[in-house]
Amino acid sequence: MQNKRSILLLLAFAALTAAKIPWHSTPVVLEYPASWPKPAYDFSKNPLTREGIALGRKLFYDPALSRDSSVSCSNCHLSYTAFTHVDHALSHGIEDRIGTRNSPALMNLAWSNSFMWDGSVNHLDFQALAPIAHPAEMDFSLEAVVQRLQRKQDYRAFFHAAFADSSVTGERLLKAMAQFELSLVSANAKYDRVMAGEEPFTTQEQQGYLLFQKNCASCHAEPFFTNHGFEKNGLPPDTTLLDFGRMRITGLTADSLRFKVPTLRNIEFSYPYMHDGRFRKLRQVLDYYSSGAALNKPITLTANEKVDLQAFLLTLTDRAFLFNPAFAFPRE
Amino acid sequence: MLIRTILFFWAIAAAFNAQSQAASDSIHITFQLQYKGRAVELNTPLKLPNGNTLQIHTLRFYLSRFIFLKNETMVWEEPYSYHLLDLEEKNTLHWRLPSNRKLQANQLQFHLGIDSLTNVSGALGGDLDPTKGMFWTWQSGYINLKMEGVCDQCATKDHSFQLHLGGYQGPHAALQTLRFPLPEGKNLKLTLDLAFFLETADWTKKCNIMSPGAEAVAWSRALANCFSLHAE
Repeated sequence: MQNKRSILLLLAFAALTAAKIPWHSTPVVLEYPASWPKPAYDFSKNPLTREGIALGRKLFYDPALSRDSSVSCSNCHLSYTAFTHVDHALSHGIEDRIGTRNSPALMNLAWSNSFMWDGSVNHLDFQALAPIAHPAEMDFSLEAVVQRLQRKQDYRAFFHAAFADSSVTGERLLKAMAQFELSLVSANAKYDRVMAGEEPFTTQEQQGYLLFQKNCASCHAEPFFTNHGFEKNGLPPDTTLLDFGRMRITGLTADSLRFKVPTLRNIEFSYPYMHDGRFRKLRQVLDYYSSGAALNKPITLTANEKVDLQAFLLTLTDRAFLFNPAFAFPRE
Repeated sequence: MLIRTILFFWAIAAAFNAQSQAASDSIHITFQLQYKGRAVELNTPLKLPNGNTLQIHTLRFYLSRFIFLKNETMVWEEPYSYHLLDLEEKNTLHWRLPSNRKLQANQLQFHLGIDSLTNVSGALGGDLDPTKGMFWTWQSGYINLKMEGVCDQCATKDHSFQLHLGGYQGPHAALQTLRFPLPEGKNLKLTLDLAFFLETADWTKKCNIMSPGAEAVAWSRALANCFSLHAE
């Protein structure tokens, strides 16, 4: 009798083990205006899922990615300020170490095929490697982060939900972070609604838009307000930083002082400006570009035109993006 | 009950048989590091002809895209063909390829390093996982080969040298393609004899290469010429 009961229990256990609940994830389709081109990111290699984005978001806000667990990605990329480090010309990492560049704003990254001010990162998946390893940022290593997270039960559950396997690997960690970053789409500014025919520009904004198209759009091309290229804007190198931009990567003198063209979307919130954050005000940027010192073909703007141009630039503010709770710190 | 027992043992025997069949139908390649034709281990002092001594502490490198060719035409390609060899991890120094018997191939080709397409394909797993320490963080790209150690001639701290050879773009693409006549037999030995490389390199001038460039390409080419393939 006792033996029969044991056998029945064993059989029941075996049946339960065999009948595993099938894993499934929830696909997410990236939403963006129909007029936009297709993303550069190959989603077939890293399909967006609700679980993958949730894991990426958890990682993005977790200081465990830094050596002393003091700094997360969000320290330099705050959602409410266009995912950049507001008020800091140069971002700081652990132990108040100061870097050499202004943290870039993060949005519409699915359409970009190079990252960082000098284009040193060739794929969004790899972007997180740089701040994790940089001594002035997180001063850690991907290997160490993986080992640290592997010991955390909650992470094992998140990884299982996202990848059907609770093992933490570098590949999965990077792909999850990319998924969250890919979800950061800003396409609901007044500018977008005007382009969709939903509302008009004011007269001043319209005049500013015309000035923008004439003077700025070759580098800050619509609809992303960047041509995704590397340009020289005439800024002399800071004598303490001696940052020559793209040349460090290509080794070509022609690339000296070329920096990636940043998006102008949400520029109202992404100050300070330029690769080294030297300008605190948007007006200073316009003054610089119209000073004659900046470009081969100087921009001529009257004081009134600067006001009009600034009015247009403010139509690039996307509050639905900036204050989207899905992008903010994940409160559990 | 008896039938069940027989079936159970038959299944086990069949599994073992299938495994041994697969093993007998494959080519077994073993890597060996050599100096002047003799096997050397990491941290072994190597006496160079100029009287200086050199020790290698780390040697890790990628071999990828193994293909068989028959009269210059590819007849087989290994799927997901990325092998990270690490002299500190003995289990990485041997691997199997399918038997040449049916393919009638007469050449074996592979890359030293990782091709440009893989370099721009985003995060990958297995031997290509960036946690393996073979991916640059300051600039995207795989390190094809990492050799670190000490040499008397190096005018650096502790006489250390670090060769991190990589780069996949334009003139700085460091990937090397190696092709060898396929020897007879099922057990092959792939050797890297460092004699020519170590003895011709000028250790007084350059002991650290850690970014893509002309030097990384030149050193990669020199190392690629030191490989050979033999039947054991």
